[in-house]
Amino acid sequence: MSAVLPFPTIGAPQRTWSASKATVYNDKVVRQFSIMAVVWGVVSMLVGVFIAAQMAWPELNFGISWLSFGRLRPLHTNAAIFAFGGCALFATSYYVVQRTCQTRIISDKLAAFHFWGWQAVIVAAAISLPMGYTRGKEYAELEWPIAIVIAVVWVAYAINFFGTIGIRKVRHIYVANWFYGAFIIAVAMLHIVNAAVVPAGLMKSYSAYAGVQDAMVQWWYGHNAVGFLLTAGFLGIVYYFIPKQAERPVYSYRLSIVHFWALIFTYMWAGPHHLHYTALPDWAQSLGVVFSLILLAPSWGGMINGVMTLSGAWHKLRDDPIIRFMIVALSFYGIATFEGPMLSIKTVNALSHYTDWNIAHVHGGTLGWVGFISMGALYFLVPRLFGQPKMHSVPAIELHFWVATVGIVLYIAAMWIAGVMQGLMWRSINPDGSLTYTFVEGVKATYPFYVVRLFGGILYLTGMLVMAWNVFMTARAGKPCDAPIPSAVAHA
Amino acid sequence: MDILFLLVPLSVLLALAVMGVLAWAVWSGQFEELDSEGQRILITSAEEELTLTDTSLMHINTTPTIIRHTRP
Repeated sequence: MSAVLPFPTIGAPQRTWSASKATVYNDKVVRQFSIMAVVWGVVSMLVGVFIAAQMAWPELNFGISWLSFGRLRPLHTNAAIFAFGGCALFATSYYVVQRTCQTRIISDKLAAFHFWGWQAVIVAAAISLPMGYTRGKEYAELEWPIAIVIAVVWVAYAINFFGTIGIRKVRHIYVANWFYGAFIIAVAMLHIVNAAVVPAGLMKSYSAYAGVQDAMVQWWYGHNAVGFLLTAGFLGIVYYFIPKQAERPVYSYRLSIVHFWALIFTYMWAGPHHLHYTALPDWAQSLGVVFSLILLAPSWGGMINGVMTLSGAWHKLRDDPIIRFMIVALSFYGIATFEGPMLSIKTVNALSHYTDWNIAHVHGGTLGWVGFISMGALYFLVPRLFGQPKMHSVPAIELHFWVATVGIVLYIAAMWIAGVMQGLMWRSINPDGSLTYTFVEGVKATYPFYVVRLFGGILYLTGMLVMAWNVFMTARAGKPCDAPIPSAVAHA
Repeated sequence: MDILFLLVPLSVLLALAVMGVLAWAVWSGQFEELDSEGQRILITSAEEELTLTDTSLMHINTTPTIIRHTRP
């Protein structure tokens, strides 16, 4: 008897894919980016642990220039944001856009170019940054040849993503795709504007902007990188993967739309809060304060929307570590989006700027929010991408969660205390008007907190290694699988 | 603050573009029937139902071959 299944399954060899004739999604690119997200996660956290150790024990640069803190720090930040975060966003966005549009991506070739191009960018960063090639702009250190490759790869990604939406079989564009779309467009714009340079050699250039104006462009870029890459993109993950894992719809779909528009409008204006009490004009600083405070509302609206999706199913937090990763991620998102507006207030900023409080804020947001939501999404994806009913070891997911959470708490608590202490020490004035403490006394006082932070980071890295093992075992037990596209159009 | 001559027009253009996209969304019916749209991602298609119970039905991403599945 021949196949009796009511839909076309694995049929004739399909060597040339036309998206409209495809019967399966391109999950290969999802698989590639998912695996590399885990790999780069381990790498970026390893570099992070190493430089955290150097903060406590500077001898750990061993006198070797390419191991020096100044060169490795941007390697850590770029790897964490663009390699780990980037691959997680690409994996999930390709997964979500195909399924919510019920079509294969418009171009497999562009997807392959995107994947390999991005890996090339990461490798180029891993080589050039320790060699000392840097533009000196935070999260935008990569020199102009690499910046050009980033722009070209990004355009390929944008064409693929928006093109897939263009050929969708479902009229409605699911809300997660709006978040991904905003992330893609915003990052393109930010990168191109902030990377404008006058080249002065193969790996040397000068910014097209100068002085405090360059600073403003840099922090317009920097804050919007946080807002659109590290926030909007990952909110796309929240709006698809949390409902899927919780098996309940988003708490309020209407709110998700309002959340989206309010967020993208407000985020663009918050950048000046990085430049309080600098040469930036007062009115620009005040603009940053006001919009940063307003930003609290849409951010928390989104957080509540995500958390309340579990309404009526809170028991899942007890039994399912994957949903726990996702919900705790939103809790850290809430913490970070409350802390951020507070830090944006000039009076608070006068104490916190240049201290380790900023580091606490960043790492609550990255380890807690970005890290955890990525991990939750990857734990959801990996079994499905390899035809497995679940991850190789669910207890290992539990272990990962607890080890990582303790790590985050140690990290941020240590840096909060250190940061406030630094701020107070720096501003302490004797009755005769002289400074009470020298700068180096502040550094010395911070030492124990650097050690605690290092330990927190080691725990977080350990969690990631557990995940890498679990992912490897799951992939090894399974086979790469592409899911079938529902042929709902042909069947009622 | 000459950079403002770049940033302000750029921001205005961007805001206009964003408003244009919002207008398109409203006029093309993106915001109709929102309750069902939120539910849609949870609907498991017939194909997905079968792959959940029998993962061998998922397309194995190796060299494409002709495979016929028979069911008892």
